[in-house]
Order: sequence, then C-alpha cells, then structure tokens
Amino acid sequence: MHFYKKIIIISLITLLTSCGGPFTRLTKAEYVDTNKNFKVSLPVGWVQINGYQSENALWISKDGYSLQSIRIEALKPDKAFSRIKKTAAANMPISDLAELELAEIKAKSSNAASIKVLENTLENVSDQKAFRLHIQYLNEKGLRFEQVTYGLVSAQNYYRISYQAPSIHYFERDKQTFNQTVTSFKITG
Amino acid sequence: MRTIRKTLSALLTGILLMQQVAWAESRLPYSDASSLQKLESDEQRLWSASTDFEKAIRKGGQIYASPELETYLQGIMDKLYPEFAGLIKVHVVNSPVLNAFAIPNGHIYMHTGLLARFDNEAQLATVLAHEGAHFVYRHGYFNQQSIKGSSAFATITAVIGIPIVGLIGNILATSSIYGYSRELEAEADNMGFKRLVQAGYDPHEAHKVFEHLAREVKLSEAQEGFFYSTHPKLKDRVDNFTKLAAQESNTGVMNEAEYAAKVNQLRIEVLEQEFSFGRYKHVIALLSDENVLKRYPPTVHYYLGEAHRKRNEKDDIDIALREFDRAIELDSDFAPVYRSRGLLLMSQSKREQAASEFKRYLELVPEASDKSYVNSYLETLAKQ
Repeated sequence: MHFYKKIIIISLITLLTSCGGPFTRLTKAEYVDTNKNFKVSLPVGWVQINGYQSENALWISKDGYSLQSIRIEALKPDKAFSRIKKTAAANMPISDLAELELAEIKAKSSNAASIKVLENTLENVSDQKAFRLHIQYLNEKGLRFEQVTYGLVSAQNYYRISYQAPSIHYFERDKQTFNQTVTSFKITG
Repeated sequence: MRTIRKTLSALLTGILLMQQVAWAESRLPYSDASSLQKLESDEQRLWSASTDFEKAIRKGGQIYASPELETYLQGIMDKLYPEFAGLIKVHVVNSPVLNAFAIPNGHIYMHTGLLARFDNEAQLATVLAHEGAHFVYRHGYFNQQSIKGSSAFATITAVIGIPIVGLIGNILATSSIYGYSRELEAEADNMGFKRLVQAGYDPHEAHKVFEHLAREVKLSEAQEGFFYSTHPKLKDRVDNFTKLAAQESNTGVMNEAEYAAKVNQLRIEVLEQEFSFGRYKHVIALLSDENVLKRYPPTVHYYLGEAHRKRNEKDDIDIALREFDRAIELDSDFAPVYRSRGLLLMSQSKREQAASEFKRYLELVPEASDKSYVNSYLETLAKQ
C-alpha cells in the first residue's frame, strides 16, 4: 500500500511539473519561440498554463489564471481578429489596429456592455510602434477586472501581449512584472 | 364485452377532457394584478429563476442607466396594459444587438440597438405590446411546461446533469431571448396588436418596424439568431401585422417628435457602440436608407463614411471620401471627420493633404485622447 502511495505522489509531481500536465513552473527567464519569431524574458517562479486554451498562446500566471495572467499570442495577420473576421496588416494605422482589437475583445466577451476603455495610446514595443489598450470590465459575478493589451504587427505575425487581473489588489501588484515582460519582448525575424 | 368497451370509451373521453381542461387552464392569461398572487409552484420557481437571471444582468453592468428613458418606456407600457400598471417593468439593455425580450416575471428588456431603429412611439409600442403579451399570456411558463414534459428535457437532465434551477434558467433565457414557437409568437402579435389599437396608436405603423429590421438584417448579413435579428422571424411579423392592419380603418397617434426627443442622443451612442464592436456592415445597412439618415444630426455622414473606410471593400473608399466631405460641409467644426479623412488620405499616400487634415483635427481638439497616434502619423508623414 505504501508503495502505491509513493507511485501516486511521484506521478502527480511529474504530471504537475512536466509539459504534459496543466502547469509548468518557470525555472528560467529566457523564452525563445523560433517558430513564431519572438523572444521574451518571463518572470521566474510563475507557472505556464498548458491546455486547450493556451494552444496558440504562451500563457502564464503567478497565483492562477483567474487571479492574474499574461498571454502572448503570435497569429498570422489574417487570423488576428478571427471573431470579427478582420485582418491585421503591417501598413495599417496603429489606431485602427487598436480599434479592431477592442472590437475583437468585445466580440469574445460574455459581458461586453461592461467594457470601458481607460486608455488607448501609442507605445514602442520591440523598437516598433504598438498600441496599448487599457480596459476595465465586470465578470459575470460583478467582479471588476482590468486588462492591458499591447498589439503590433510584423510581416509574418500579429503579436498580442496582454495582462489581466481583478482590479482589487492583483492588477496593481503584478503590473510591474507585466511591464518588464513587455519591455523584454523582441521580434526576432 | 359491450359494457367494458363503453366504460373504456367513457374513461378515455374523461381523460382527454381532463387533459383539455388542464391545457386550457395552463393557457389562461393573467387577468390583472390579483392573478399574480396565485402562481403555481412551478411558476413560482420560474419567477425565482427570472429574478436570478435579472440579478446576473444587473451585476454584469448591462443595464443602460437612464431613469428618464426608463420612465418614458414604462409610461407607454402602462398605457398598453393599464391593469398591470407598474407590474410589467421595462428596462434598457446597453447593447447594439437588435433585440427585446420578456422574462416570465413580467420584466421586459429593450436593447438600445432596437430603440435606435424605431421611427416613432407607435413602432416602439408595437414591440412593447408584443413583449407584454408574452408575459400576460404566460408564454415563458407554458414553454417551460412543454419542454419539461418532453423526453428531450429528461434526456438533457440525465445526461448533462444540469441542476434543475440552472436548466430552468437556461430554458427561460433561450426562449425569451431567441423567441418562442411560431404559435406563441403569433398569439403575442395578435394580442399585442389589440393593445396597440386600444391605446390609440397608429396600427399601420406596426408592420413598418419589422420591415425596416428585416431589410437591415438582410443587408448587414447578420447571423445573430436573436428574435428581432432573424430574417424569417421578422418576415412572419411583417406578414402578421400587415394582415392585422388591413382590418383596421382607423389611424392613431405616432408621436414621432416625442420619440425623437427621447432617443436622439441614444441613436448616436448606438452608432458609436456599433463601431466599438466592429459592426461596420450594420452601420452601413442602417444608414443606407435616406429616411433613416434624416433622423440623425449632420455628423451622421461622418459615421457612414467611417464605416465604409473601415469595411474597405469595393467602392468603399470613394463613398467614405464623399461622406466625409458632406459631413464637413454640414458641420466644419466636427473634429473626428478630419482624423478619419487624414487616415484615408495617408493610406493613398497623399502626404500633404493627410498632414493638413491631422493638423486641423488637433487644432479642434488639442487634448484628444488619441493625440499620441495622430502626432506619430504627422511625424511619419514629415519624414517621408
């Protein structure tokens, strides 16, 4: 019996720490994706969330994705705004790109009426122009969340880097970590 | 043997009669406020689920906060159903989607998107009367009973294991928002129409609202599935109301000016909402009707032009430029049109003209929330 317990515990640890499990703890900062042409420095100690919702995204969290999460997506420009069926283009005015992103967020939201834009500004990411969209919304239970999304286009990909957390406590607490992640983000090809 | 046959026949007739009485009873409408005090236990649970459903809508911040507009809508509803005055409550949902729905406890939800489409109060009253009829004729309850009695209900409950309250909630949400059976919708049309006439509204306006919506839904290729944004269902309404109006020789009031005064600001807000949802086709479909354009202030030409610029299909850019010119001609101080014209000219590599438009925009709104973008466009144009 004792032997079986050991096997179960070892299996669980392996499952939780391996790529095949739901989470992978980040033990080094550097992350390079050669297929999607970017590199980024991630916060060590956070966990990478694996599973169907992270198929096309690098998705990390510190305390659980409902408390705070950072997502980095690299999408083909024609798949950038799949819900509203719009395409991103490198020559598109960046303010138009930001408006498409907002429309996509609203189209995906189950509570779009509550979305408020707090800020929509031009920034620099990976030495090129990007938008920074800061929104606020309520979830189904009425809890206030904030989300910051950066978006930029290269010839190959539309990059979306976003951070979301409940306004109470978590958003401010981990915002700096997100800012560092954005600053470290580089398009490599 | 004959006696047995007679007895069985009598028994069967009795059962059938009982069923018919039960059916008829379950289909009795509420007569007045007092009838709401005697709800069946199933119906009480449905009302309770309705209350939960409403709490979720409110918690999610989906209500359009305008006490003045709510009071106005409530006044019309009370005029249509005076015996339920104050009991059939009207609320406004902040959503550009074309919809309105009644939930079983008598609360009616009108979407801002639908309110922005009516020409006058008579058209609004048509929809309120229709939704009010769903409540008075207990369509939510009847629908729930028929689904509950079906084998599909048992299968869903057993296989998915959804808690009963949640399932009731889903049923009420689904049928209320997406529409009821053809028979129940026709009943709501007929009963609602009677109320419309009794309240003194022009019955010949009733079918027009659905004609407008059907046209717009078709043009925008909308596939939302909601009751007021589904083409076949709208077509049914047009047919029903055309037949009903043909029997009415009297006219009534339309209250066009009164209605416009209440919703003019909301109409513009809905256009902006449509943009924020990326629903450019909807804006084009709505504003491509000259009669609709007349309802809006001159700045509407900016919205129409911007929708064409953003959709960017064949001929759209030419139409956008034409609409922007028209907007400036009618109101030369309306800033957003200069930014949009600048973006369009920039995409055509007309650098000097684009820069001039952006400068004019910033002159008009020096502290524009998007000035970081506009300044960067000016810098880029200066470098080229």
